[in-house]
Amino acid sequence: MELEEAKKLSLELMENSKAVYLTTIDSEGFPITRAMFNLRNKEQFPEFSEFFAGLDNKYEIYITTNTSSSKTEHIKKNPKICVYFCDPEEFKGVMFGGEVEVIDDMEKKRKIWLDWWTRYYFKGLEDPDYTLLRLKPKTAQFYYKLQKIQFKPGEE
Amino acid sequence: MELNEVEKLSKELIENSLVAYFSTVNSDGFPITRALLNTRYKERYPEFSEFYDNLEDKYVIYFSTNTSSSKIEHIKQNPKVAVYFCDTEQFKGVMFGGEVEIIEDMEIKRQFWLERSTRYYPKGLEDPDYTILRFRPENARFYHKLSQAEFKP
Repeated sequence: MELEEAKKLSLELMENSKAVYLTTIDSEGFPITRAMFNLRNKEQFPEFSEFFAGLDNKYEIYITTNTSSSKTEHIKKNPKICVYFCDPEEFKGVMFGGEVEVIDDMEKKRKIWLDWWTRYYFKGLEDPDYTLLRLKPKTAQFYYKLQKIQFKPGEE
Repeated sequence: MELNEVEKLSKELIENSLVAYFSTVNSDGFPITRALLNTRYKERYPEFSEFYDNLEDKYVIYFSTNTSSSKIEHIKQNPKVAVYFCDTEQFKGVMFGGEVEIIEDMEIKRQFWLERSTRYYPKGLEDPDYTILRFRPENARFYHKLSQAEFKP
């Protein structure tokens, strides 16, 4: 498979996966994986597609979470994470690795906010329990059946 | 949610998921996650269900993989892994943590060998590129919507 094809399929996976699998490392060095909302999923989150389409780096990933969650605790000590998008029926997946950042910029937080999220963050957008994470990935591995292709995300 | 209910739902997830999300840690300390075929998935692997049903440890999971794969390289240096099963439609998931073992025992390797395995290991059962991993989890976290429960698997 060509690199360009792998990149194209990776972006498709990012836009269609029902969830994104986020892996952090806990204080004992164990990986911890869980599913998170995939905010790039166009069907589930059409409100954000304009925001993502306008990004300079097409592979930037945003994840929202509770400040009080275990993952926020892990990230403070160790920002090394990976995120994985997958279509298991097609044996297709793409994984991005790098160091995650906690975004405090209110303007960014406002762009990635939906009113019904008060279900998770009772006090709304300004709730101190609302955390926005950003990954500018350094590495990418695309898998399709028995093939594996690595690429540098964000470099044309 | 009751612990009994959590264990029952976790078992259902294990037996009905096509893949397991398998996370290792690489030599630079970054987590690496990929989907692996779930040998406990009854619909795809009815051949293995008797073997699993007879095990004393209800949460043990075996994976087959290429000896030459990056995960084997990671595991040799650091056996700490996570194995995650998920139903994204239902916002339900269960994650198991612990250390994974590389199994050399030919009897177990034979147990997980299928005719179609030659697709991955062309030299057959004795192919040095055929590796079986055994994972006996030490801890478990179950997630359903906003609730989370931990249990000892």
